[in-house]
Amino acid sequence: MQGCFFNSGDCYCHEFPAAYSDPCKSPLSQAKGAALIKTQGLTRRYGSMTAVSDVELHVPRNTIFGFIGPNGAGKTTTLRMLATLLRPTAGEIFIDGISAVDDPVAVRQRLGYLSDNFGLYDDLKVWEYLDYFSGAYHVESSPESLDMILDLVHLTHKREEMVGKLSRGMRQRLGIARMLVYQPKVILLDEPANGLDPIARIGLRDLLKTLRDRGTTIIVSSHILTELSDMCDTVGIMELGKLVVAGSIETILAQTRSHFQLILEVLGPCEAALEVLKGDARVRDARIENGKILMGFTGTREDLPQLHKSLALADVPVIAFFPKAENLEDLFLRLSTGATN
Amino acid sequence: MFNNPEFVRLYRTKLRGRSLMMLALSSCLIFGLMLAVMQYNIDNRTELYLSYFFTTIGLQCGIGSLYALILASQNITLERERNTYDFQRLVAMGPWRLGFGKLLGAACEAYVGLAVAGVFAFIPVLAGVVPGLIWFKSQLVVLVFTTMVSSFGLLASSVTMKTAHASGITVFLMFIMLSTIGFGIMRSGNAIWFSANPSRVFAEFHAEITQASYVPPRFTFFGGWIPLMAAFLLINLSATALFFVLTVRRLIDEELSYLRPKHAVATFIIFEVLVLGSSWDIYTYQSQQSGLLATFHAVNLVLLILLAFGLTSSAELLRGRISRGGPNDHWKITLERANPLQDSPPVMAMILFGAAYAVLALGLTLSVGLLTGPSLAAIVMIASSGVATAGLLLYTNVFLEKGGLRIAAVIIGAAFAIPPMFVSYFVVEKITAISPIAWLVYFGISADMDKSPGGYIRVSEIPSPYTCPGLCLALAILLVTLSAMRIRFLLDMDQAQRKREKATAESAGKDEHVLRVEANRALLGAAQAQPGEQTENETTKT
Repeated sequence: MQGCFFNSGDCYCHEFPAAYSDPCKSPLSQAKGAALIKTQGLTRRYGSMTAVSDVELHVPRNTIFGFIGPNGAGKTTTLRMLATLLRPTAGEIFIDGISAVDDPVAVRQRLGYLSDNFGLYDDLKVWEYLDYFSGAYHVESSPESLDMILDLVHLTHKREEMVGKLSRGMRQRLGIARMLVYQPKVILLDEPANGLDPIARIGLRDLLKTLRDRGTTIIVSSHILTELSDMCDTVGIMELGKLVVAGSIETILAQTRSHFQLILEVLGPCEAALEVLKGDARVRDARIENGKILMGFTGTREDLPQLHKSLALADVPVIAFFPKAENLEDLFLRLSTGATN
Repeated sequence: MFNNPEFVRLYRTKLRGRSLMMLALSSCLIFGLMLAVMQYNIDNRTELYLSYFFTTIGLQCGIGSLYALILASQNITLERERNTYDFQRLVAMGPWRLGFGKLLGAACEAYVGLAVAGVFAFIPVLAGVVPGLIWFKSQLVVLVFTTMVSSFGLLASSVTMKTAHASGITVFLMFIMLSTIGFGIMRSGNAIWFSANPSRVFAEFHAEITQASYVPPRFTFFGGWIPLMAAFLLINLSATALFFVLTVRRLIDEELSYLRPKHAVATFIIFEVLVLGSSWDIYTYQSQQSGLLATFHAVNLVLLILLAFGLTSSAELLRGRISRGGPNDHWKITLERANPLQDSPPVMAMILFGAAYAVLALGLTLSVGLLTGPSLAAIVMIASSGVATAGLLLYTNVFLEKGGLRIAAVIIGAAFAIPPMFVSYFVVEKITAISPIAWLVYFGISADMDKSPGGYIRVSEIPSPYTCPGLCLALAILLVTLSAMRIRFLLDMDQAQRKREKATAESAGKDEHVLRVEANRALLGAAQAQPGEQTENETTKT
């Protein structure tokens, strides 16, 4: 049984002894801090098709976790299981220590869920919509409390407007405001940025960060990787129903990188420099692109000055010598095959 | 009661300002115009107000309940189509309160129309033609019947995915309702079931006002009697509660069974009490005993089959239960009464219901003095049919893992419909060997199964009366055993898969993608163990 724990942006993978029925009761998890959302062997089958297979997910408190994966990877099914809208075929889900399989009603009071194509009640006014959810979650609401929430999502001026007249971005914010009424500990967002213009996306990102800072744990799935890398503390890549890898972007990049990608810029022709580099066994696939030399380097970070020194000793006029920065997109492309169920 | 958030939302949505005014005005217009037209045509004052009263409450009940049915049947399907249903299922107020809010609010426009019509129906009371108590009782009948119909509409809405399908079910119900109105005003029948129809109650109101005596105002029940109104309320409120429970189960989780065992027990008790109570006097009437015993068996056959369907959960939920099972748990899973997933296979529940039915049937058989071999075989046949249905549902669910309920319904429907349809009249007696319904027809003629309809079929040509009961019992055992064996197979498969996964992450035969995924995992593990030192092999795989 394998599980990943996250603490302070680091990813820890560990093989659990079979005796630990709940991985978070293991000594390791207690040492690293308890996760708010934990799944163990989470599996969901639809007839003969396995949509989600043996997912071990551990998300710590007050973080934003990003779910990445191609269409049909199982992200939505996983989110729906976490939201207690689907029962897992096998495995367990613990949210705030409560089993979502055994006691879904208790879990529902702790979470908010916004699906991909969510709907709103267009025939209600904005404040009536929030008032409905106040009542539904046994929260005493007043005009002032509703105004505070509307202020947070920048919809105060639309208080008396019919929901059906709101723009797409406003509807998205109202959908999130619905969850702020009862302040869930966990918010699950499935493709929340779909159909939003760039400004609305920035607004959404800032809102999620604000919520995170206020103590909410957020899981968000998205195809827009740059957006996720901007706001997520940790990410998980899903493919064919399996969680391929999970952790902070930097940690995963560092840990899954087999070699550095280096860029070398020299004064004049590159051929001499290329000859020197080919003489180093740690350099791979060195090539000239746009007047610069791109190469892989299998050595460690500490070996880089040595390489630089060898270039200098060969009188190569080095202008720039730096590792190529990788982002979430690079990571996703590296780890994902794009295969779908 | 009216502080329900769902109810508040629905009336805010549907009865906002202009909509409410239009609804009230149009209702006033209809009933006002109707009074005006009647005044123009009817000279006799008493006759005018009497006709107006019954026309108004008839329209209230007819149009109001149909309107409520249509509105309620759209409620949950529209939530699904507008993608708001998920939020509703997640709200903390719980499915019971949510369902109650829907029951009150889904047809709130219809209730406004009923309220306006109720005011107009009060005009004959002001005129001194209709007693106030009759007016009150008529409004109660309209309200209860409309609520019952709304409850059914919600149920139809909860079991279908699209509004069009829900409307189809409700149109079907409308045909049944319209066709039963004739039964309701028939003056000869006095079975308690007729009192469920509001037209029968209205006929009694008419008789009460006009001092006519052709409608019996009460029904015999276990040797005593109950008033017509009480019977109406008992049956309609029971039906409302049953439909409501079924709807709430859908709201909780669509993978759950339609009924929990405790709801099924309540349904079973109410149904048996009504069947036995309303027919008590008839059972003691000497010349019809075997026929009525056969009727008792037949209605219980239908009840047990419906309970088996109601208690069956989805194939997905059952698969989840099997995934959580241990080795050799197949009989435990097949026959368990409860499990942590809030649902369990229906077999054990149906065995218990079958036993309860058998006790009742045996008591009734003894009380009418018809203790014969076939009469005991009938009890075995009916009880086995319930268990066999449960076994069939379980088997189709574990075998197909999807849509088992629908397929089993087709199989059972065909089992009952095809033999009478396709076997010719000359071999009709042979059907008794395979069809419980045909068997019961012969049993109704003679408790010893030694007579045939019309007398022109030789008794020697009638198959053994124990063939069909034996077949039902054998089917019950076979289907339950097959289900258990299939569950064992699935348990073994799960075990084998777990072992396989545990044994090796990179066994032969896995596809390229799996290798790649697991290489990534291995890489991640290796990177953690020795940061910066990647092996050649791992790098190549990645």
